[in-house]
Amino acid sequence: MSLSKLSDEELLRLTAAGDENAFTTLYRRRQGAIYRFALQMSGCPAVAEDVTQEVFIRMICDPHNYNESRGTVAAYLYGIARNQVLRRLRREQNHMQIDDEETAVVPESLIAASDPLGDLTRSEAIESLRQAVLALPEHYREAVILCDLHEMSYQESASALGCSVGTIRSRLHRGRALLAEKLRSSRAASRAMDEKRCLTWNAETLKA
Amino acid sequence: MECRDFESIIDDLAREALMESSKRTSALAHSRECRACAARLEDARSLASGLAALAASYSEQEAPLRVEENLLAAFLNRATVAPEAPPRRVRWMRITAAAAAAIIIVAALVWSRQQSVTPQQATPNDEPPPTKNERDRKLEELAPRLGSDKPASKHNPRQNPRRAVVAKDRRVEAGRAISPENEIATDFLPLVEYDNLIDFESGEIRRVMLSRSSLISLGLPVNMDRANEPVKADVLVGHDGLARAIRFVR
Repeated sequence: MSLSKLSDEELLRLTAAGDENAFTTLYRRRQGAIYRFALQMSGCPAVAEDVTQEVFIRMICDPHNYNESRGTVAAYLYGIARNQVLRRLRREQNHMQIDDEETAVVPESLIAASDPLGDLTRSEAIESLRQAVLALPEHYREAVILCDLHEMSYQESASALGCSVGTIRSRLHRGRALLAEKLRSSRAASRAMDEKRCLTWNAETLKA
Repeated sequence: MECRDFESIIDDLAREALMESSKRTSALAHSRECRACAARLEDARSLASGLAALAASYSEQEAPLRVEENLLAAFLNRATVAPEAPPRRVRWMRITAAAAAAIIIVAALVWSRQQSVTPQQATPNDEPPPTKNERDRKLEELAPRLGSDKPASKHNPRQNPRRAVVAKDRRVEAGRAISPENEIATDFLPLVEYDNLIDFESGEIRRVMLSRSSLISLGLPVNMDRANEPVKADVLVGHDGLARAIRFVR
């Protein structure tokens, strides 16, 4: 039977028994998501790389640490990644450029205009949202990343973060509200800036 | 629908999540009447589409190849060096079995004491604590008196009772003896600390049936598949009701 058809749990069992191919299969299946989660949480590729390595090293060193009754292998790996990211963030805060929640500014609107600059506007909007997510407090950020960016269920997210489904729901709701608030204020700021530019342009045109 | 109710379902509404059609209709009707809620819904929809675009922007991101190479090297290294740890479930089974065994032994002794009809008097012992050599001698004296054909070993379990039990365990195979009833019995294994053993002058041997898993508490190897099977044992009990030693009989 092909290893790629086996479940994560079966691959982990084989990995624990020393099966190199099972480990490679499991790694290739899960590394992308773990790397992206660490990158989205930290905003730093070097941290994401280290965290990904650390997660799978932990899996190699202590494969029996996984408890099937507490959730899926994916949730287990996310849980390790989350702990590693938070540890790294606290240790290396100087490496990150994460703005404080109160002072973070999202300068552009998310709404892509249907004009030639649409793509540019859209990529700027995505970048703004990326910064806004990074500026969220950690417990809201991880809920938003898992549920909205990784499309995990509340149950899986709760298992990964070691909290209740209700906690996930409330953190997600609050995290989304904070993001919406930032985007609203940035949109207003952007609109005001556009109006100012427009008035200046009109005045200069009239002078000319 | 009130604004508060609308607020509670705004995320599901913005993400087109499944909900009762009547609820959805009611919410949309509310957003047409309430400008604040309509704006909130618009923000939530913008955010949902923005987050979807953000997720898509990460879709190509993966860990560099060197991470896989490093991990594979670590895996191969571990596979050749590290011994496999017992599964967590087995560890817990062992701990639980040991605890159960301890409870069973205590219960068996209490029951056995209650059933006893000819109690003997223990000799008062006001002597000062004996030395290590005296203790060894006492163990040797006790062994034949208690029906074992083989005298206790010179090993001193006082230094580390747990180690003593394990050391005794090693002697079980070699030290099997035929009891007067033609049963094969192990040596007596001490169940108490040295001081309690040395105060012991006389007592009773009581036959009990224990689950095989109770052997774990004494550091003896047990086939977990047969952990629930009974095993015969003789417990040496003092007149104070305290079990001093145990031997297993086949």
